[in-house]
Amino acid sequence: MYISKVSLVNYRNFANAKFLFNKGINTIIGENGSGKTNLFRAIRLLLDDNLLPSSYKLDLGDFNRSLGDYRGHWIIISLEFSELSDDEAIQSLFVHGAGQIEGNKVSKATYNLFFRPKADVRFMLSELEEGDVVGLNEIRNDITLEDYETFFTGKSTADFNDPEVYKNLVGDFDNVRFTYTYNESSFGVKIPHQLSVSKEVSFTFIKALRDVVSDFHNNRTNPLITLLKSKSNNINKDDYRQISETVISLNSRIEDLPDVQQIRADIKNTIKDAVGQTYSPSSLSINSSLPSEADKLLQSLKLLIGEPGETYEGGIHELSLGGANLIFLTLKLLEYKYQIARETFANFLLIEEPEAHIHTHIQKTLFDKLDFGDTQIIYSTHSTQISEVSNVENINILGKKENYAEVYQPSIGLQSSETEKIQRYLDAVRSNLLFAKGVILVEGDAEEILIPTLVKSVMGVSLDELGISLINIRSTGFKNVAQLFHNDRIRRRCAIVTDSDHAIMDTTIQDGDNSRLKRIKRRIERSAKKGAERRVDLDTFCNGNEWVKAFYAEYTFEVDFVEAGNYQEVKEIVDIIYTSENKKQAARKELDSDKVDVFGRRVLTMANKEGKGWFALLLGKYIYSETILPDYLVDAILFAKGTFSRSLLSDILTYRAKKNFELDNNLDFSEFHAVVTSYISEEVDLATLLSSYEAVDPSDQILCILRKLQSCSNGTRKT
Amino acid sequence: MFEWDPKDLNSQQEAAITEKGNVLLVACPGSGKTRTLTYKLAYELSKINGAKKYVIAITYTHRAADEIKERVQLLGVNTRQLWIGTIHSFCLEWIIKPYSLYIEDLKTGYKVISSHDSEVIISELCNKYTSPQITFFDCDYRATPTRLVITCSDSRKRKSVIAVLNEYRQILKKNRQIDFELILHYSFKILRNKPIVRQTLSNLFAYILVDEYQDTKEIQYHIISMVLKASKGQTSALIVGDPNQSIFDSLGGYPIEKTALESLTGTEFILMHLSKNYRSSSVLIEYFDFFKTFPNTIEAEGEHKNYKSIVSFNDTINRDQLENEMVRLLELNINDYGIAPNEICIIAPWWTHLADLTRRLMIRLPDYSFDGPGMAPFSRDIDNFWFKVSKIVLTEPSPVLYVRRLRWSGEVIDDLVTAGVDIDGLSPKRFLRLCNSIELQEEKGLEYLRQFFDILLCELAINIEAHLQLKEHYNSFFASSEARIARLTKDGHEFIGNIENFRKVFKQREGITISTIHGIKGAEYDTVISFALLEDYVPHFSDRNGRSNAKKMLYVIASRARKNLHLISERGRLYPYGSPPNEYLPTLELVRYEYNYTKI
Repeated sequence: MYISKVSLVNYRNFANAKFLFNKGINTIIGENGSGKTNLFRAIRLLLDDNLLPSSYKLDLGDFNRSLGDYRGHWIIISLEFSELSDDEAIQSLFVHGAGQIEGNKVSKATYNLFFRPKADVRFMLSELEEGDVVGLNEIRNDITLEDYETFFTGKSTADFNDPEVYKNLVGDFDNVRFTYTYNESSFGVKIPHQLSVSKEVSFTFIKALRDVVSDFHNNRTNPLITLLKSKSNNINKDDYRQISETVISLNSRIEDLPDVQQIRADIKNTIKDAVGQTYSPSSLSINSSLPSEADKLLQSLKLLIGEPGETYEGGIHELSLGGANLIFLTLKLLEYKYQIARETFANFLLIEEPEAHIHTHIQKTLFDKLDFGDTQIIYSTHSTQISEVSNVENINILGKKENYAEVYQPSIGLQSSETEKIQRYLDAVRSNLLFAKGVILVEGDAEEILIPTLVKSVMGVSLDELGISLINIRSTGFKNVAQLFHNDRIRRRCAIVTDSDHAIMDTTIQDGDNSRLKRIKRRIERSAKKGAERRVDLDTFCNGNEWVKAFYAEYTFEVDFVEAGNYQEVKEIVDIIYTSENKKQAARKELDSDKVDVFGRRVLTMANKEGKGWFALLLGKYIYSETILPDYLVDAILFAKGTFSRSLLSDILTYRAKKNFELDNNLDFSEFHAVVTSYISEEVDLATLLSSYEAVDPSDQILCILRKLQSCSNGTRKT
Repeated sequence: MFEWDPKDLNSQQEAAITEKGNVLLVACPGSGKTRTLTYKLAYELSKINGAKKYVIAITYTHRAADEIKERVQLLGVNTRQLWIGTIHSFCLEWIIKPYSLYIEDLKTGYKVISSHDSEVIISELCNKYTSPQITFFDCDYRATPTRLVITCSDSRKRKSVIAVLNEYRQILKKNRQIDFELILHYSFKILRNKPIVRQTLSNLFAYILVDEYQDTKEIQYHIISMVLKASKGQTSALIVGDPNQSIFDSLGGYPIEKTALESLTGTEFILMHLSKNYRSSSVLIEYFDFFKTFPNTIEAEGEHKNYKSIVSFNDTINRDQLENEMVRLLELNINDYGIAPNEICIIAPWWTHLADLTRRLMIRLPDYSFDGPGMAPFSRDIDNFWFKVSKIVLTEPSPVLYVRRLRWSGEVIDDLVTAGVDIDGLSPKRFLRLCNSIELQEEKGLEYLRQFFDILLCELAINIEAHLQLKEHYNSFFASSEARIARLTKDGHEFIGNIENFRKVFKQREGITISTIHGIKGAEYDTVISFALLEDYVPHFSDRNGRSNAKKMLYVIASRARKNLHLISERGRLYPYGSPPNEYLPTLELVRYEYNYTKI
C-alpha cells in the first residue's frame, strides 16, 4: 500500500493543492517557503502518532491566508492510498474503516481530516435562507476556533480539490447556500473508533536538521534498540542460558577482583572514620552491572562505526553528522523489514531535505540502489542533484504564489514514451528546469552562451536573478521538454527561442552563379524551407497553451544579432578570427553593410569557421550595456519572466542610467532618481517613470524594452 | 494464556471452553452458563493473535452484556479486544456505521428511532382504521432474509396493517430514521451484497459467541453465519442457549438445528451439553423436566439438591381471594421457610395482571418493598442519551458504584462527541463530579430530571436547540416517560412518579421482585410464585404454536426457582365479551400434568 494522493484545502499555504505519488521514491521540489514542510506536516497530522494530538488542535495559522476570513470554512486534508489488499488479515481493520469497495474489490482507501465548525454552527448555517448575506455574516462574526472540531472520515470518493465538491460539503459562501446534510458515500464515513490509522502503518519523519545523535541516545527513538528488541523477544532460551551464566560469573569475578574489594573496604572504612558507626551505611558493595537478562543485555549493545577510510571505530556521537544520518536512515529502513512483529503493513518514510546532512552522491546511491520493499519514501529537496534520482513521474513541484502555493505534476497526461524522453533529458542536463520560475529553451551553444551575457549587460540583472533558467536543447526538438509546461503539468512559462532560418539572400539560381554559390543557395533554400515548416509546427504546438510560446529569430541568432545593430561587437573579433589582412578588411566592410545577404553571410562564415560555440565565447567578451538586445529575445525574456516587480524595474532603469552616465556624463539623471523613489513607494506608475527616464535619455533601448510591458515603440542604438 | 483453578469449572464446562472447533452448546437451567461464557471469553481473549482482532459476544440484553463484560474483567483479562452487546448494537457498530454509505437510504445520514417513538407513530396511524379496528400490536413486522414480513395473521386486518406499515416506512424514510428491524434488514443487505464486507469482518473477528440462541431470529442467524462462512474456518463460534426456554417464538426467535446451522455457516459444529443444574432442588428439576420440548437430561448438582421443595398448584382459588392467597404464600415463605424477601419473585404472563396485584400487596404488606423492571416509572430506552444520563443522576455516589458510574459517564461523553458537542476537556471524572454536585429539592421524578438536565446543559454550555439528536432524545425520553407514568398511575401506582421510585430503578434488588414471564430470563430466586396461568394468557390467544409455547413458558417459570414453587390458575377471570362471559380456564399443560403437588 502506498499514498497515491494528498489533497489539501485551506491548509496553511495551500488554498487548494493536489499531490500525486507513486510507489517507491517520490520527490517534492520547491524553493524555500513554498510549503514543503507544510505538506509533510499535513501528512503527519494523519499518520504520525506523535502528531495525533496536534490534529485536534489546529490553529488560526493553519488556515490558508488567501481565505481572508477563515470563519465558517473548513480545512481538509485527504490522503488516498492505493494497492490495498482486501484478503490480507493484517489490513482488514484498515479496509474496514477506510477501504473503498468497488465491485467486489478494495484496492483504494481514503483517510480524511476535516477541521470544521461544530454541529451547532453547521446547523445554524444550514437554516439560513439562500442569499441571506447579513445572516451569514452575523453567524460568522460569532464563530471562534472554539467552535471548531476535528473529524476523521474514511471511504470517501469525492475529489476534495474540486471547488464544487467544497461547495457541496462546506457551503457556498457567495450565494449563502449551506446544508446540514452530509453525503457519506462521497465525503466518507466516520472512522470507527477501533481503527487508529497511525498504528496500522510504520511512519517515520526525518527532519531537515535532525539531531541524530540525540535520537540514538533516546531509548524511544533509537532505531538500534527497536531492532534489538524485536529480536530479543524471540531469542532461544536454551542458547541464551549459557551466555547468561557466563555473564553472572563474569560479574562476580569482576566484583571479586582484589583491587575492587580493596576499594570497597577503603570506602567503608573512610565513611566509618568520618561519621562513625551509627551513621555509616549498613552495607556497601560494588557491582558489575552487565545485565544478565536476554533483552536487557541485547539492548545494552552499542553500535560502533568507523568512517570510510579510517580504521578507528567510534560511537555514533563521534561520527560525522552525515555519517550518523546515513546510519540512522539505514537502521530505519531495516526496522521496516522487521515490521511483522509490529503488525503494520505499510511503511512511510518522509525525509525533509536530505541534502542538509547527507552528501548528495551518497544519497544518490542510497536511493538508487536500496531495495525498499514496501516502503514509500517521500522526500523534499531544493537540490537539483537529488531530484535527478527521482523519476519525473514521481515528482511534485511546488510553485510559490502570493499567500498560496501551487503544485505541479510534470508528467500528468503524457504518454510513457514521452515521459521517458523527458526523463532521459533530465538525467542528462540536470533538472534545474524543474526549479525555475520561468524557462527559456534554446537550440544551441551560441544562445546558451550569449543570451545570459546580453541580459546581464543590457538589463543589469542576471537570468538567475530574474528566476529564468536557460536550457540548451542542442537541437530543435523543443517539444519533448516544452510539453512539461502545461495547465495540467508545470504551470510556469516556457519561452522557446529558435531560428526561422529565412533566406538571407535571393536563392533563385542565376545564370552566372558558380557551383559554390549554387550549392550555398540550395542549402539556404532548404534550410529556409525546413525553418518555415518548423515554425508552423511549433506554432501549432504552442497554440492554446498559455504557458509555452515560441520566439523566432528572423534568420539565425548570429544574423539577427548583427541586424539588431551589433556589428561593432562582431568587428571586435575579426582580428582574432582572421589572420590575413585582406580577409579582415573584407570582413569589416561586409559587417558594416546594411544588406543582410552581405553582413549575414559574413557573420555566418565567421561563426562557422570558429564553431558557433567558440564564436559566441569570443563575442561574449565584447558585449556592453549598449549592445542591442534583439527584439525577439526581449519578447522571449519578458514572456518567461511574466511579471516584473517595481523594485526590479527600478533596478534595471537605475542600472541603465548609471551605464549611460558613464558613457555620457552630460546626462542628468537626478530628477529621474527622485521619480524612482516615488515609483518604488507606488506613488507614480511605470509610464511616469519611463517618461522621466526618456526626458534625460530619449533614445535608450531600455525604453523600448520596458514599454513592451505596456506597448512598444522603437529605440535606437547609441553610437 | 488465561488459566483457571480446576475447581472453578466442571468437566462439561471445561470441555466447551477448550474445544477448538465450533460449538453448539445446550445449557440447561442453572448450569453455570454465564460462568462458562465468561471463562470462554477470557480464554479466547488470551489466545487472540495480534492487536487487531476482536472477540465478539452477542447477548440478548444490554444488561447481560454489561454483566458479562464486568465478570470477564474481574478474571483479570484485558477486554480491549472484546466487543460485547446485543445483535442490534453489533449490526450498528460493525455493519451499519462503517458501511452505511453503500445503502441509498442511509448514506445521507440516519438515526435510530426508539421503540417508543415507533409505537407512537404506528399507534397514531392506526387511528384512521376503524373496521376492523387495528392497534400497534397488530402491526408487528419482522425482517427476514427475503423481505420485511407482517406477522398479523388476522386476514381481515392485514390490508390495513400493510397500509399503516407502508405509511410508517415512508415517515421513517422522510425523517431518515431506522428502527430495530431495519437495522437487521440493512445489515443483512450489506453483508449479502458486499462479499468484501463479510470477508473483512471475518478477518477482524477471532471468535464469535452468541448467547441465548433459542431466542435468535432467522435473519440474525443469517447475519452471523455469513461472517462465519466468509472466514473459511478462521473464525470459530460458540452458539449457546437452551431450546427448552425458547419463549420468544412470537418474535421470531427459535433454536436452530445443528444441521441447519452447519449448512448456513458452511462449517461443522460440535453439539455439547451443560447438563448439571446447580440451582434447583432435585424435586424441582424433576418437576419442570415434564415441560421440556427438547430432549435433554438434567442432573441436580447444587447445594439445594436435597432441599425439601414445596411445589404447589392451586386451580380452584377465585381471583377475589388471590390477594389473600398471595399474602399467605409470601408470609409462609418468609416466616416459616426462612426465605429472604428479595429471594422471592412473583411472575405473571402480562404486566396488567401484575400491576393491579402489586398495588394491593404494597398496601397489605407495607413492611416489604416490591420492585421489578416493569415498575420503572420512566422509559428504559437504553440507547437514549438522556436515559444514560439519568442512570448517573439517579444513583448515589458510592465506592461500590464508582467504577460503574465512571463507565456510564464515559458513555455519555462518547455520545456527546458523536452528537458533535463541544466537550473540550470534559473527562468522565469531571462529568461525574458535576452530576454529584447538583442538588435539587423536587419530589416529582420527571420534573426533577428535567431541572437536573437543564442545569447540566447550562453548566456544560450546550445549546440543546442546535443539537438535533440531543433534542430528539430529550423529547422522546420525556414523552415516553410521561406516557408510562400515566399508565402506571392509571393501574393504581399513584406514587410511581415520585423521585424515590425513580431512584429505585437502579438500586440493588431489595424487595420482592415482580416480573412478567418474558422479563424473568436468566434470573433465579429461592421461591417463585406464578399466577394467571390460564388458557389464552399461557399460551397467548394468538399464538399458533400455543401448545409447545405454553410448555416452554412453564419450563422457564419453574426452572427459576431454587427451593419452592407456587403455581396458581385462579378462577373467575372473565373474557371481556360473550353473554354471559366465559371465564378463563387453567392452562391445559398444567391440568394434564399429573403431579403429586404439596398441599399447603
